[in-house]
Amino acid sequence: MITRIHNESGPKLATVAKPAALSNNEAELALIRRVSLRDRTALRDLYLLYHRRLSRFLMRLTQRQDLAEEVINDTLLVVWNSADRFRGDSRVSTWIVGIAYRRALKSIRRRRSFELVELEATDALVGVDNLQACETQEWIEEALQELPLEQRLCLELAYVLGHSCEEISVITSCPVNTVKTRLYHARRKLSVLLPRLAEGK
Amino acid sequence: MHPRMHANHEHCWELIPWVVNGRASDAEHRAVLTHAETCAECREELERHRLIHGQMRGTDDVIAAPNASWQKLLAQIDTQPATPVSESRKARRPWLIAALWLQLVAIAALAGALFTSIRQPEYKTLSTPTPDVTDSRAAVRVVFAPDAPLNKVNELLRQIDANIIAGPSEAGVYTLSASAGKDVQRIIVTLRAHPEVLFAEPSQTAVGTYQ
Repeated sequence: MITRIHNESGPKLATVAKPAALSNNEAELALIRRVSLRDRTALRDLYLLYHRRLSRFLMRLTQRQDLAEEVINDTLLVVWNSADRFRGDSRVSTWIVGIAYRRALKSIRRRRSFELVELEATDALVGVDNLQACETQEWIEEALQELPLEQRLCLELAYVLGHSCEEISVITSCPVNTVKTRLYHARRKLSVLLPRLAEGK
Repeated sequence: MHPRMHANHEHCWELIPWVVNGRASDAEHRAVLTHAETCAECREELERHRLIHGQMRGTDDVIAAPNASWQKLLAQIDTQPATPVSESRKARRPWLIAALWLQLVAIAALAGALFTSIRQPEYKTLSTPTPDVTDSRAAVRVVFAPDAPLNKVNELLRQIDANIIAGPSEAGVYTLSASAGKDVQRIIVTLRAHPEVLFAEPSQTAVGTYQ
């Protein structure tokens, strides 16, 4: 269900999509068809549906609201420009999250190369004391940060967006076995990291 | 651990993320929970990932209205060239059509060349007219048996009052001329009745009574 607020300055968009609506592939497919006919109202409905899902996923990855918003807008712009080429071979959500995944990956890699120098400069300031002060959520986040990007993304797609192994395979353009292997290594590493971080806490 | 139990353990361990995120089937869900009751490692892993999942999902808080971002997206759409996808597709179409036509012409040319290069084998049958016989006296075309004795052939020719004026051709055909006033059809009936004759027919120039 989508709620909209209107005021003098034009239509305002408010909160937003219920999970039940997200699972309705047929309804989303109908929106895509309308978007392919340049229907901006349909695009706005899709935007509302996916802004919520993607912003949570992207905020976790980028840690920056502006970057998350940038990736969401880039993703929906791709949807606007290529909706007429979507043939429904996968679920709409798999297609859109796949676009967001590739955009996010690109954005994160670009940002990492920029921030490398900055990280090196401040590295000496981050010590055991900081780690010990972490709350439960923070030490889980610390452990997740230790994972290679591809392994972490598989976990994020499974836990934050709730995708299945097969859907993650489509989103990341990898074989199912690669997804399984990435998750296997991520979990093995987490099982080692989390008790250690917990002890530190 | 027993190999069968080990296989079940591996399977259940692998399913844990999908049990946690709700994407495992009911049967898989039950199998993992049942196994975890007796397997400390899987129980611990299940608890760990429930905690991770809960933390990663966070609270289902109200998310700020994305109005500003939406307006920004509309501005992006308005500033980009109108319908770039369709335009680029249209731009590609003339080339595509031209390429298809070119391909069609090339295929037709190749097919034509192939057709003309394959010459039909020149079969010669007994009924094939003998082109080099232009004699107006030609009345009958006949093929004698290979082992027909010469005296029998001569006797037959005398009987029908005919002479060999050409032959034998490549197919073994002799062309006969008949005396004036002779009925060609009768000659042919006589020839066909003779055991030394394999084939007899009127020549193209002989129709009806030979003049």
